Amino acid sequence: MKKILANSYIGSLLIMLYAPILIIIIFSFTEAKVLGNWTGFSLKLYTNLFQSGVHHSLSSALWNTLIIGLISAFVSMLLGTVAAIGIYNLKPRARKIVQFANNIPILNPDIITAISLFLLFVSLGISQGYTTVILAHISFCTPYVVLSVYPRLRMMNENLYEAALDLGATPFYALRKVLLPELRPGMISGFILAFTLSIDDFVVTLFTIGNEGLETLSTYIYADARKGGLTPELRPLSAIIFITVLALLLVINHRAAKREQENQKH
Amino acid sequence: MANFQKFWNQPEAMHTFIFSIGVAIITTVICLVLGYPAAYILSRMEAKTAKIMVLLFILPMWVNFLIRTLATVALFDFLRIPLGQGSLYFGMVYNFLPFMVYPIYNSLQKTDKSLIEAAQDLGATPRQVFLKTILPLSVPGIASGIMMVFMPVISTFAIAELLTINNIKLFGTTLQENIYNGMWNYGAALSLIMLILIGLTSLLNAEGNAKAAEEGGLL
Repeated sequence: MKKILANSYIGSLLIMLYAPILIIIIFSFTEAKVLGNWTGFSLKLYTNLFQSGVHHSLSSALWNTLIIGLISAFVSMLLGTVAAIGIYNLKPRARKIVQFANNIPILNPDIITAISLFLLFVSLGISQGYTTVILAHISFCTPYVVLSVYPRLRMMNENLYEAALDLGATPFYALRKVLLPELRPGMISGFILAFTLSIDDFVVTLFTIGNEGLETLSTYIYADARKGGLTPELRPLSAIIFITVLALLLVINHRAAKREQENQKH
Repeated sequence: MANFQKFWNQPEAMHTFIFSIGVAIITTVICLVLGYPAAYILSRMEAKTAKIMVLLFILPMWVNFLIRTLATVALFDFLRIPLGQGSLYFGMVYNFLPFMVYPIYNSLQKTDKSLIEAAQDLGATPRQVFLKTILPLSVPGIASGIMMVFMPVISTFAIAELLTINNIKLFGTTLQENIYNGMWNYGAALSLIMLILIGLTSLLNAEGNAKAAEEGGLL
């Protein structure tokens, strides 16, 4: 009895969380301009999405989002890893201070980050566009990379690096052959985290994007919503993104569970 | 300093500020009341199912929140519920509930089961076990959950704008409007006020936070 109650509670919360997403998916199979009108089953929106030229502004927004996400995730992965190695080698006191400083941007609400970056770019006289968006994204993603790389450094046996040096490796060689392989999982998860933060970001992008017509997916949606309606093609696009992420996460989860089972056997 | 004086003298900005704090507190409380039992139930489940369930709670966050908010608007239209305060709270809770469930689940999951068993062996009633053992042990998770809901809610602007057709204004909207209308200094002053508020809440939470961050509760 208790169990049924508990399960139905979880179930109803999940229904609440998924109802809007389900609505998007269901209504991606109809042609109606307004979300909520059903005008018969159709795959037109999906074909529109993949036909180049039908929705040029949407596809260019999508490309911008992906490019900005990849560049800023890559750069913040590099910066964050170097920063984590640096923090690890600091004296305890200084390390605490730098770690605290690293946590400030994470706890800071994004609108304040956005306004400060906006004012910074304006006061430096940098015209806003692609570069400023990428710089802004790098600056708010890097702390997260530091957080995901740093635990790997602490788990690592620090004698390994010194052993490599003693055996005659140059510092750079030791970095490449000893340190980086150990840090790789942290770097990869940092990259993924930074990428998702970047493509999902709206507020910081809105403030640093300038007014020369550059759009990312989230500013595009926002502008659309303010005009009163959502471009219908966004429905199949979000449905595809959602299903892809769902499948990816299930595969990752399944593989992790399998690996755990195998480890238990050994 | 003139900008700060302007804030004190303008009842409108002051009102939105206080109203936003109110909305944030109510949203946080609703999220806590809804999220704690959910996290508790999840932590009692078998590890395998629990993992998938937690994943399901986090998954909606991968759909752009603007699209989700617009879908919520469509849902309300569909059910013929007028947009207003009710839809605002629904949208807020809907968007931020996972941020409450996840850290609490994490800290509940990490509690030492033997402590709970010890309490039971020593003759505590289920109620006592919960109040005296489980609840205190999950405080770091609760603190981190409250932070992760309260702070973003105070600063959002798009959600409120879309869910109430711009009828209800939150402080984030005020900030954005000022910056967009070129009142940069005033906007910066308002941001500083908000930053101070956020700083105060994080100081109040500092201890719980440090613990949660160490345990990976923040991510």
